Amino acid sequence: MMASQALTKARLTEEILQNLKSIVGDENVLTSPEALYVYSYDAAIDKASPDVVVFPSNSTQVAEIVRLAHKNKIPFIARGGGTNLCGGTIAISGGIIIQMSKMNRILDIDTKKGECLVEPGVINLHLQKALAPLKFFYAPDPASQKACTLGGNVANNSGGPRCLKYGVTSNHVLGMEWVFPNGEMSWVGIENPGYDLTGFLVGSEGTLGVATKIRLRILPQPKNIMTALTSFSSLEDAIRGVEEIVATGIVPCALEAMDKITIQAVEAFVHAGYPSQAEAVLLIELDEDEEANRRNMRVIEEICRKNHAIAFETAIAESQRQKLWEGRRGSYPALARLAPNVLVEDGAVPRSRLVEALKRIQEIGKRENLRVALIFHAGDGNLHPQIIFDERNAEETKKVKRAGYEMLKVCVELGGSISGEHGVGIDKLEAMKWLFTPETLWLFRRLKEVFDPEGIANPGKLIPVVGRPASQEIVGDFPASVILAPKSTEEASRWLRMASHQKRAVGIFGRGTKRKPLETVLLSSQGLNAVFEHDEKNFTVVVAAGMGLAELKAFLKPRGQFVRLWGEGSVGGILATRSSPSRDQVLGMTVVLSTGEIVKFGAKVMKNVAGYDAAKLLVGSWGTLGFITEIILKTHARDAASPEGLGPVLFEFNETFLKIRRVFDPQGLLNPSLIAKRKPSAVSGQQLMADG
Amino acid sequence: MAGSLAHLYDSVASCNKCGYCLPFCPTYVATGKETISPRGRVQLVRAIIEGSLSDPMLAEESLSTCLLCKACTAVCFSQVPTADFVVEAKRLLGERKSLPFADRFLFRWILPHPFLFSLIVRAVFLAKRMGLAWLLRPFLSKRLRMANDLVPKPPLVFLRSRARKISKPKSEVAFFASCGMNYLFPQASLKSLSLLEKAGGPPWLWNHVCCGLPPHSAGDLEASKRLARKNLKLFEKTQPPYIVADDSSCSGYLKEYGRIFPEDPRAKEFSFRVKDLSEFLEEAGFIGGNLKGARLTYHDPCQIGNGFGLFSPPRNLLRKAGAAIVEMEGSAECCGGAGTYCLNHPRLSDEILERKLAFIRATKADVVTSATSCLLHIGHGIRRANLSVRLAHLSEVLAG
Repeated sequence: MMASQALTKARLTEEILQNLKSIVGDENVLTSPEALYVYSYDAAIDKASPDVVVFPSNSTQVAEIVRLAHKNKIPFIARGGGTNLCGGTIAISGGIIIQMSKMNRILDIDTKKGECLVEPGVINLHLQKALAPLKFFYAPDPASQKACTLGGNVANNSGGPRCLKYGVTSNHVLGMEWVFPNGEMSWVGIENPGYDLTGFLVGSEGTLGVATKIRLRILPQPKNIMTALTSFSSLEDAIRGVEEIVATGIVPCALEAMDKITIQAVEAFVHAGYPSQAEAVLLIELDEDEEANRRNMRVIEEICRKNHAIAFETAIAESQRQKLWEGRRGSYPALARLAPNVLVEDGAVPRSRLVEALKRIQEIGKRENLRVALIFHAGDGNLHPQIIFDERNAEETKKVKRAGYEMLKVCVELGGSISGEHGVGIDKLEAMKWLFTPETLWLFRRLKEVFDPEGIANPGKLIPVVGRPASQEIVGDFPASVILAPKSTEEASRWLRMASHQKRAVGIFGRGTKRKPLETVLLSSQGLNAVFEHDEKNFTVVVAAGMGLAELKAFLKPRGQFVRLWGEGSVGGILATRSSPSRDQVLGMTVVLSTGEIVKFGAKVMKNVAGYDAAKLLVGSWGTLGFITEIILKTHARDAASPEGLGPVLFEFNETFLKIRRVFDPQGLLNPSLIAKRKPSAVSGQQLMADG
Repeated sequence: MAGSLAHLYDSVASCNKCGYCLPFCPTYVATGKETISPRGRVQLVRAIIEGSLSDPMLAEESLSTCLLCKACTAVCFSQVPTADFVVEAKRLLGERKSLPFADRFLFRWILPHPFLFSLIVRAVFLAKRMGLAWLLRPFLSKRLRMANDLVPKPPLVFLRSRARKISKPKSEVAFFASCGMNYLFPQASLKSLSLLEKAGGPPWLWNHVCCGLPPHSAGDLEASKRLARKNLKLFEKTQPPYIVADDSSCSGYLKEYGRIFPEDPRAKEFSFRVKDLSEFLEEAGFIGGNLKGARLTYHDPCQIGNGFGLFSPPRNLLRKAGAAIVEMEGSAECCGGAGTYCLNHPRLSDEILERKLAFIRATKADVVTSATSCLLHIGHGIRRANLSVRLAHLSEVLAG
C-alpha cells in the first residue's frame, strides 16, 4: 500500500546523482530497483520508494548531501535502523535516504563528566555494551535497542522501561552537531542560553534537519537492583495496582505490565519464566540502596496483594532477570508469531486514568472483534495496545487502523497524548488534529517552514497540513498607561490581539522581580494566580503562570508533594528567565502569542512525543516568544536540595533565535527592548539585569 | 515463476519487518546495507512472490550474499527462516540463469559417487603437492586460485583408507565421515574416531554420500534431495541408533533432513538420530584430554550454533579437560567461510573474516572449532595475518 504523495515526486537528475557519488563515493550511492525497494519500508505498514540511498561516513558529507538537496529542492530523510513504527522514515515524496549505518562510531566516553559523544548510527545497545565495563549506562532503553540507532532515538525522542525514573531521550541529550535543512551545520547544546534549541530539535522526526553527532548524558550503574515479578488473574487488578503504586510516590526504575496473550507469545520463544497461565504480570524494578529497595518493595507487595496478586516473587537470579527483560523487549516481535502483522499503538494517559483507559481500549478491541495484546510501560502511563492482524486482508487492515485511531482518541479524551515514545510519522498525522488546537498546529507548521521553507526535510511527517485559523474580532481599546494583569488566558489573548492590531509593543513580565519592561503596554502575569489542578495520583500540577513559586510550594507541602523549581517570583517568570533548572520538570504550557492566538503544548503525561516540544523554546525566552499563562509541572514525593548558581540567564540574539521569534511574534511586538539592546556595543547581561 | 515460490508466502509474511535481526547479520554489519540484510532478503523474496519486483533476477546479489548462517533466525522471535527462503529463491533464479556448469556437474554427477569423488580429489591434491598448482597459477581462475590458497598442504591419504582398523561394522555409532574432514583433515577425524571409541565403543565408518549441504546452499535443491534420498536409503538398510558427524556443518544439515524433506517419512527419524560429535560426547558423559593451562576460545560453526543452539557441549568438554575458556565476542558469528561463499564473495567474506580475527585476537587464546569450512577460512586468515594463534578441531584438542 503506497502512502499518499504529499509533494510532487522529486526529480533526480543524472547530474545530481554524479554529485552525490562525488560526495560519498560510487559504492555508497544506490539506485537499483531492488535497493530502492528495500529502503521503501520501515517497521510500520506503508511503503514508499526513495529515488536514491546514500551512505555518508562523516558529518561533512551529510552537510554536503543536504546542501545539494536544498539547492535542488529534493526531499531527504535520515534513516538509522529502520525500526520506526509509524512510517517516519519512508520517502512518501521520494528523494534521498541518508542512511546512517556507516556513521556508527562512539567518539568519546568521559565517565568523569558523565558524558559521551556518538555518531547517529551507533546502535543503542552497542553504546550500552561499551559503557557496561565502565560501570555506566545510558538511560533510554527502547525495546528495539538491539537494532535502533541513537540518531533515530533522538529523532523520535525515544523512551523505554527505564524512562519512568530516568526520563526519555530528550532528558539525556546534552548537545548535538546538527545539519539544518539548508545544509548549515552548527552545534546546539543545552548549556547555551536562550531558546533551548537542543530540546526543541529532539523529537522533530527529521523534519528540521539531521543530527550528525550527539553528546549524551551517561549515568553510573545503580549498585542494587531489586526485581519483582507478580501475576494477577485480571489485567484490571494489575493496572489498579500500578495506579496505587505510582500514587505512593515510590519511583521504580521500571514498572511494566503485560497481558496473557503477550506472556504466552513471549514464553514460546524465550522461556523466560513468565507464568503462562496468569492473565497479567507486572515486572517491577527498584534501584535505590538496599534498605530503601526492601522497604519500597514491601509497600509494593502489599499493594499488589491487596489487588489480588496471585504470586509475588522477588527471589530472582540475575540470569533469570536478563531472560525476563529479554522477554519483555521481545514482546512486540514475539506477537508476530500469532499473525504476520502487529500494529503497535502508543498512547499515553495520566497515571490516575490507567484503569479507565484499559477498560475502554479493551472495549474497542471486543467491539471490532480484534485480537489485542496489551503491553504497558504502566508506571509512566504509556500504553502499547498491539493489534494482531494480516495486512494481506485489506478489510481487516482497515478495521485495525480504525481501532488504533479510536484507542488514541481515548488517550486524548483522558487528557493524554497520541504518542508516548514512537512518534507521529505518517500514521498519526490525523490524530495530531485531535490533540492540538488549530492555532498550535499552525504554529508548528510555521516553525517547520522557517527552518525548511522548501519543505524538503522528511516532508509530510509529524506536522499535519493545516490552514491558518480564523482570527477573532477585536473589541474595545487599552486603558491609558496601566499595567494589564489579565485574569485568564482568554483575557490575555484579547489584550494581545488588540496590541497586534494597533502594532503596539508589549512589555511582558511576571512579578517584576527580574526586570521592569520599558514598553508602553505592560502585560503582567500577576492576575493569573491559581492552582488549576493537582493530580496527586499522577504527580502533576497545573498552575497559572503568575502563581508565586513559594505559594505553590506552600500549597503542595501539606499534600506531601514538591516541585523541583527554585528561586524568587512567579513560576512563569522563573521559567521564562531560566532562573532555575527546569528542563526535566515542565510537561506542558499554555502560551498566548503576540497575535492573541492561544497555543497549548504538552499534557499531563510523563512521556509525550507528539508534535514539536515547543515549550522548550519558551523556557529562557524572556517573554520574547509569547505570554505564558498556564504550566503543567511534575510533582515529587520528595523534595530535592536547591542547586547552586540559581538566577536569571540572559542571552544574545542570533539569527536562529530571530527566525524562531519571527514565527511566534511576526510583528516583533513582545519585549522588543530586550532585542534592541542587542547592538554591537550591546549592554552585557549583567548591565541589563541592573536595568531591570 | 513467481508461482513457484507461492508456497512460501505465509511463512515469508511472518516477518513483520521489526529489523531486530540486522545487527546480527555479518553481511549487514560489514556493509550497512539493507539490500545485504536478512530483512531485505526476506522482503525481496516477498516482493518476488507478490510480483512487485519487476524482475526476480534483481534480487540476485541480495540472495547470493547470504551466508545462510541462520544468525537472523536465531535472534528472531518469530523464527523467520530466512535461509530457507534464500535457498528457495536461489533455486528459482537458478532456473533462469543456471548454475556454473562445474558446480552442477559436481553436485549431480560426482558427489553421489564417493569413490569417483575420492579419485578426483586425490588427483587434484597430488597435482598440487607436485607443484602443479604453482606452475599453473597464472592460468587458474580467480576462484581456483583462492581455493588453492585455502589449502596449503592437502593430505594424500584420506580418512576412509586410514581408519578401516578402528571401524567396526554395524556398531551403535555410525560415523558420518564428512567430505571436508575426510579429504582435508583426516588426522582430526581419526582423533574423532578414537574419542568416540573411548566414549561409546568403536564407531562404524558408515557408507554414505555427501550430506547435500553444498548443492543446497547453491540453490540446487534437486541435487541436494538426490543425495539426501541416497543417504536415507542407506539409513533404512542399516538403521544405526546414532549417526555422529565431526563436521558441524554436516551434522547441522543432517539434523535438518526432517524439516527440509517433510514428504519423506524416514527423514524425521534419521534427523532424530543425528548427533554432532560434541553433543554425542557430552551426552555420553565423556571426560578426557589434558588441557590444563590451555587458554582456548571456541568458534561456533553456524549450522549447529545458530541452527540448533548447541553452544554448551563443546565448551563443557573443553572445560572438563581442564582448559580455561575465554569467550570471544560474537563467537556464533559466521567467519565468512560458509562453504564456497569465500570463493564467490571474496571481498565481503574477507571483511567478515577480519572482524572474526579481531575478536579472536582480543581473547589472546587459541581457537577451537568443529567444521571444515571454519578451519579452512579462519586458518587462511591466521596465516595471512601471520598471527601466533593456533587453530584446531575440537577432536584434536580433546585427544591431545
